[in-house]
Amino acid sequence: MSNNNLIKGSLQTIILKLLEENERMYGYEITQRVKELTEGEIKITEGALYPALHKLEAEGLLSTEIQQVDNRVRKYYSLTKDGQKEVTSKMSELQGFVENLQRILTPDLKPGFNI
Amino acid sequence: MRKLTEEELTLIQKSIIRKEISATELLGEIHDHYVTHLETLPVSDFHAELSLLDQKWTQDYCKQLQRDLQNSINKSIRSLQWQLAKSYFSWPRMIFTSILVVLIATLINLLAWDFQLIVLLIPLVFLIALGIIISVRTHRKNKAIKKLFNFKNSGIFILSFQSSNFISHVIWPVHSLNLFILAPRIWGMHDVVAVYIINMICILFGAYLILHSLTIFEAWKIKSKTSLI
Repeated sequence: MSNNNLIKGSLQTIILKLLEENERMYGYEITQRVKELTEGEIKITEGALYPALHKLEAEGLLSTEIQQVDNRVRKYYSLTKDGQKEVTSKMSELQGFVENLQRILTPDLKPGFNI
Repeated sequence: MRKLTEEELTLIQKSIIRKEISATELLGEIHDHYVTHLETLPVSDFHAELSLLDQKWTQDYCKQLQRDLQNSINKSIRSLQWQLAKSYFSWPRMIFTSILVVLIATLINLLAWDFQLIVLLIPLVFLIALGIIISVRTHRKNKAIKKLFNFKNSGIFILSFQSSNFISHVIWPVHSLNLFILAPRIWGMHDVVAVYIINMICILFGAYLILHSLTIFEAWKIKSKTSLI
């Protein structure tokens, strides 16, 4: 199933949520963590991930830290204070959207149903 | 997980150099992505996986990523400067600044042209010094990334985009001084325009320069904590 468009719309929320739970992560680690959590159902491509990370960094929601690891340099991303606030708002926005989507897909569902 | 051989690391390095990326911010990140991924695979899969990675990280994609990075860095510096400028203008500070501008405006009319230039030169000297500090610190911080690649004879000049953006924000007021203040004098326009107008331009431009210097310095202090500058 191609769910690229669905992922694209919620990629920032996914990144922010993962960073809220993991304190700091690097790009490759994020792709692997998503793959692991969804048992390979969702694969975040490099083509989408890095521009999203750079955008969030530029917006001041993420901060970065460069660290020497073995024979290379690694860029870790973590949430800023604004980023922490944004996770809460993005999560409730996404939950509201999923709830409304459920109502459309299954109209018999009672209002207030939580995923 | 295994350790890559020198030969494999060289192949990765060559593959990344072919993408003609010049931003140190991206080079380090892409290199880490390649190495981390390939370390998880057996030796037999190395060449096939390297080729797959190259198909994902095409030269066009990397160039686009670099352009986007350049735009977002530029945008973030400008918006940070604007936020800092806005936070400066609380009421007590605004009153203090207004008094200072009036004081300078009164004094500047009493001074000769050479002294009027000093009013503008102080923030400019500060900006040039800041530019030098940023360059030196960036050079030091980027050493590790530059060491990873052999760019000799590649024709690629690598630099930190964060740093080059900051330096262009620092340097452009110097060009403005040449364009708006010094060039008209060379062309003899100061004989046409009344001295008090030139003085007022000097004061306004000087006040703007001070604000620009302070905000760019604060922005650099914030950004330097978390980036390669």
